[in-house]
Amino acid sequence: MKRTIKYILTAVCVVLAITADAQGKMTKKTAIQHITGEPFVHYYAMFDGVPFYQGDWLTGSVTMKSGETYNNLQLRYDEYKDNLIYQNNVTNNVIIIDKNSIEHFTLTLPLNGKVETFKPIVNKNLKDQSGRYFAIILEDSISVIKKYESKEEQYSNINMTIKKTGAFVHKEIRYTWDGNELNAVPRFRRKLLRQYPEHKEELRKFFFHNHIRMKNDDDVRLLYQEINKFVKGH
Amino acid sequence: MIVRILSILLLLTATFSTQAQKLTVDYPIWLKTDRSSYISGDDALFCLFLHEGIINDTMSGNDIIIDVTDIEKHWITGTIVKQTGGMASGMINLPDTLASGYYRLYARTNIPNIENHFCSCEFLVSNRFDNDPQLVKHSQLQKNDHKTTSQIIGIGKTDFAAHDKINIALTCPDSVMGAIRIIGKKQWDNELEPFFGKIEPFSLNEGYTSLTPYDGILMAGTVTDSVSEEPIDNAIVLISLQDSIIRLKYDITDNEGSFCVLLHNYYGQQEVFVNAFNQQMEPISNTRITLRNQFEIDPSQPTELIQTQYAPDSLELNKALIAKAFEMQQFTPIGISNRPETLYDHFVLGTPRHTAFTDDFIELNDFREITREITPFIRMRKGKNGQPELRVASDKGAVTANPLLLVDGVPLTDLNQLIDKGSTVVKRVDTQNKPRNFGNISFTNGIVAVWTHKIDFWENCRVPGTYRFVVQGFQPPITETVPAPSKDRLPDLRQTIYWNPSVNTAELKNISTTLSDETGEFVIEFFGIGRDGKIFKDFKQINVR
Repeated sequence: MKRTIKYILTAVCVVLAITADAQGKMTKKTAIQHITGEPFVHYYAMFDGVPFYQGDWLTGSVTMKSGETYNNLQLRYDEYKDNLIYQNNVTNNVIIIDKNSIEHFTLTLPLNGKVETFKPIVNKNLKDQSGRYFAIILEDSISVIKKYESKEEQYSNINMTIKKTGAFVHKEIRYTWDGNELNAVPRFRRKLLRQYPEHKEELRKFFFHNHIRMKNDDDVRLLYQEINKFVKGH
Repeated sequence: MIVRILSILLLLTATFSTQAQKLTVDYPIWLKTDRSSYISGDDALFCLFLHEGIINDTMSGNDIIIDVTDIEKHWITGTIVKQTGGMASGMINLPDTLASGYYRLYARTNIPNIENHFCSCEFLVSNRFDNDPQLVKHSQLQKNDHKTTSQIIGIGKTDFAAHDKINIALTCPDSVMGAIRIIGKKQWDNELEPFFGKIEPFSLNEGYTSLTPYDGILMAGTVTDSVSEEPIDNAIVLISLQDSIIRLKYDITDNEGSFCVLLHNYYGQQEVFVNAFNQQMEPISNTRITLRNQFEIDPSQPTELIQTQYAPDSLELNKALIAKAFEMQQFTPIGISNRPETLYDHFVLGTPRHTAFTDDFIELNDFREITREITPFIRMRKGKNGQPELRVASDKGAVTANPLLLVDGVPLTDLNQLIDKGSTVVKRVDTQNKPRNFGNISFTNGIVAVWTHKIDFWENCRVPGTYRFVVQGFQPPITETVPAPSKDRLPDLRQTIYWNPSVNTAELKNISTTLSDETGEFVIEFFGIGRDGKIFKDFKQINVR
């Protein structure tokens, strides 16, 4: 009896092993990635600081225009040259991802887990035909987007022992985007009221009931959610 | 004991009664095309509804297989669409070379008792290069007897001007799955078919292979040495298409020599080219590539190419030129779902460092002359083995040999095939003289992309090691297009003014569309099926002046 049970158990194990192997073969390697780009070449040795968003490699995802999404990538957003840099862990290559192949990408901040989404936006006022990356604060009829910029500032007195000629300075500028025009978000309420004269009263009421700081992303998002409602006629 | 026997009997009775109920569904699939006659080269739009009785049965798969055959059941072309909520729609391109005559569209499901679930619909194709006796015959057909079952379509007026906007209100008490269309009355009068498709057994003539669904668009195969038949591991397999843009996919083989590529944006029937390279992007000689496509039932067998009745396009119609002439980008999509924007957006080439158009220069006799005269970064030299090789110069003057050479989007591993092609064949040469990364592979020597005038280099070119296969893909739901209003708009000669194949009257109440420049009498037609199998039909006539 014991022998029979042993035989049955062995047979079951063999069948399970064969089926498991077959399953593994069928689902093998369908997620190979197709990110395209050029090799990255370092260029900022003469400046103090780094021109990257948050300064370091961040975990993020990239969604391509072809519809593929790649998660858990090591990414760096180069604010100075407006490039997305990617470290391929398989080949150890560091490449600049082709901007015109990207639909959007996200970067996760390691400290608070906040995820920021960036999109390449093409506008006639921008010289770059493949667009420039903007962080998305609000997506609506009137979207609110933010540009992270790094600019170099030359030192007036160059210290030859350090061999640095300048430093990178980070900037953030918020814009509104209606699909055609890019306008800077006003820093003062008065200017904003002038932009929407037909909704002046509603906006005044809104400012009265809400403490809006024009330098805070969440506040600006709240404000433009309200403006979108007015514009749509709700 | 008696209780046991009784319970078994009860169970058997219940099973048989369910089977009997299934078999009472006379019309499990309803199939309809947007028109009853087409010109060869047209897209035939179709929609179909599954009876509620078989939707539950299709839990094992949502695939609807569509086959086009001639009247003698020779398979011509086909596609696979997915049904959702009992509805599916799609389109089939009728080949340019299809002879005038009657053709049949078959729809069937992949559920187990397949012989009960199919439907067919007949239509006429007229080839503009034929004498068209069929079309004359078709115009003499008697009008079918169309009857309205209930008032569903509501329009404020019946007289319209060309390119007017038309608003249609749908009023239906029940939730009905259906389709609505606006077509010319003359064509509507000459409908070949009864209102819905016929039920007819589907079997092809001997020697023709139809489509078989596979869950997911997966292309798998193996690379082996053609002499020793040993699998080749760590080989880079490039999968490409002959087209005016570069469409590349790749995989790296494992120790069994197998590769697997997900063609997630592949639609319809495609001819793909497969090449194997080593890690330095040098072509591997003596390879044998076998491909299993997703339609194969037995994945261990090598691919059987799907046979086609018609010859390759011999009319040499430059479709891209026609599309450009009609400025398709001015058309805006309407309808339920959007087709993904592009098939592939892998910018393998990047922004080319130099682009040369041969038409801008005097006639150049061969490719060597082209490289010498008009492409500053490319030179053709004799390699170590005495064979010609391409060399690419970087901006700083460094020269690398053997870049990835693509001709009409397909890697060319034998330069001798291109060497005698002058400016009468070669249209454009793109040079990328920087290294490029594509996923986990690198083209360190740059890329040279050569485009021919007719994008037909591979029609007569056979290179050992370059394999070609025909694969099938799922088709997304169709999207109709109407011209965007503009001051200097192009002529709008749409014959089917409106076609919405997936209407659920519980959700869609109002339809708004624009008439074309065609004038005359038109018919707005709604047809559908309720959840209880009841048929709903309604027609309204309008005049366009």
